[in-house]
Amino acid sequence: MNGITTTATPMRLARQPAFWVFLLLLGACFLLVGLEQVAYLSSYPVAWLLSIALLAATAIPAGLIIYRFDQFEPEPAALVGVALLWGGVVALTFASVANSSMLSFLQHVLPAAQVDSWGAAIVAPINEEFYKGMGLIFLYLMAKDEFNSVMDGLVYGAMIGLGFQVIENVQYFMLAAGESGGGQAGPVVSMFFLRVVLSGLYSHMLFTGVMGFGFALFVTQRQRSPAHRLGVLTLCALIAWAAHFVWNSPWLETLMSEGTTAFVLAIVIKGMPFLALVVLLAVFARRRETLAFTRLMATEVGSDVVTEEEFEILRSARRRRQTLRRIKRSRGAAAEAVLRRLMRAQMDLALFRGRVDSMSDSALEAQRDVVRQLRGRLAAIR
Amino acid sequence: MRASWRAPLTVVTAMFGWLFLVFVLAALAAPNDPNVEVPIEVGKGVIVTPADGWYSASGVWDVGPDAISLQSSGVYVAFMVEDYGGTNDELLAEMLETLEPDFESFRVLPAAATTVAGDIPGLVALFSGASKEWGAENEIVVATHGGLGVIMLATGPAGQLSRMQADLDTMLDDLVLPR
Repeated sequence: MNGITTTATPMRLARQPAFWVFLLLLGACFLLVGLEQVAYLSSYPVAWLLSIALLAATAIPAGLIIYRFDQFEPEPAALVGVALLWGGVVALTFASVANSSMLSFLQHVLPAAQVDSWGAAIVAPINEEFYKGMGLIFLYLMAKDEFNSVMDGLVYGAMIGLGFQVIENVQYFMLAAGESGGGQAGPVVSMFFLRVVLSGLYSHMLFTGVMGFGFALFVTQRQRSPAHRLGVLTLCALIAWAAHFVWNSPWLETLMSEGTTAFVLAIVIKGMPFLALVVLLAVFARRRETLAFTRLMATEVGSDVVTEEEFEILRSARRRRQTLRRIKRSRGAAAEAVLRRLMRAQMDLALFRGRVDSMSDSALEAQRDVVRQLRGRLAAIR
Repeated sequence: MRASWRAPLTVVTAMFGWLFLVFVLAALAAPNDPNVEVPIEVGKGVIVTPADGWYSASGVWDVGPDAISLQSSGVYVAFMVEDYGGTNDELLAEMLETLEPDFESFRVLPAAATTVAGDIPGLVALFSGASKEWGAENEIVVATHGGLGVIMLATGPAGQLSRMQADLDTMLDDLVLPR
């Protein structure tokens, strides 16, 4: 093992007070969410199991795609787990309670027709974005070292949103099953089509992803003025809120009722501008990551640990995949596995380089030795 | 207190603080009710009082004379009254016969006994089918009394009608019929 440590290993997380506070919150909220799930399972077993299967089939690939956004420094699994649990358990529980109270408040100060139309658009973005955003702060307090770039915030934010979205969808699916006079599977599949297939992209992952971007910029870009960083954070939080507000608003309801094509068109109009923005932010974040990677690797390229050619391959996910496929074809699966580890070890050099002051730091030397050993192992496989 | 505990506890305080704030706002606003549910005459002396949160749907569902329509949370309800000399069973059968052409695969669950306006016997039935005009779930209540036939038709998306059932029951129970 090398000498570089992060706060995000389970052992080191346990030393963070924020982690223990998170566990307390999680335990308390889990009692509510867990009991709810048990009640669903006992009342509508077919619908619940179908919901879990359908959501797993879509949420796992979605999670993997988000996880792979950050190609040079994948987020630690422990922190990704914390983000998912925060979204699906802690934020969802707090937001549910706050939503009920705020809706009750609106019902007593606004005409019923307005609350009927705008209640969800007013209440949900305020409470849900607030409590999901608190998760970003908790993650930062648990592992400041893991917030190195805007990409980290984007990934953690989207993961919090994904957790929230999955458990909220289970609630919607069970509601549909419970209140349908027919069988349990039909309403679940209908709701899955509506909430996941048609509109899954324009949801909590998107909202909290934007906020995560702003939060990470605020905590990482310390060379910029506090006013600038706070401005970007505020702007991102407002965009997250606005995306949620527009999505929940009754705008284009008339269009939505004019057939399937019009319904899909309305969804696209409401969600596409914000989705395009997230894609732009992701591209921006990825470019920054690539630039940072190039800068940190500059001193290693051309040495015996990373050749010029290897560096060009490492910079591109597509070229890495092509190279792995090529070696698998020519030298077999064992060589592919070693090459995969070699690439990871070489990319970790950049990560470690960013955390040490000296080029001759013992941890960095140890990592170079890991690369050399893997290179030797790869050469031995014929 | 160590500084490292201060930050997470501050965040938790903000989380509970926000929760407390919305509780307080809801409690302070509770006595206020902008939705004054004024009784509305359907016609022929029949009066309905909209349940809390229900408001006119006349702009969406035009139900003609001696009838009113209301809406809440995606559910629409119409109350109608007409001169009628038959029984509850006959009125229900006539109404269902009128409704059937609006649906494909029209299905009606067996009717059950109910009461309206406190003690007047009526019939309730749920019906469904594929329709452009009607929601996935529909309910009809009929009651005949003193030469009048009173009809309530409710429609809503899947799952929503049962959510609003308590409101519908309240409005039926509070209905005023000429005695």
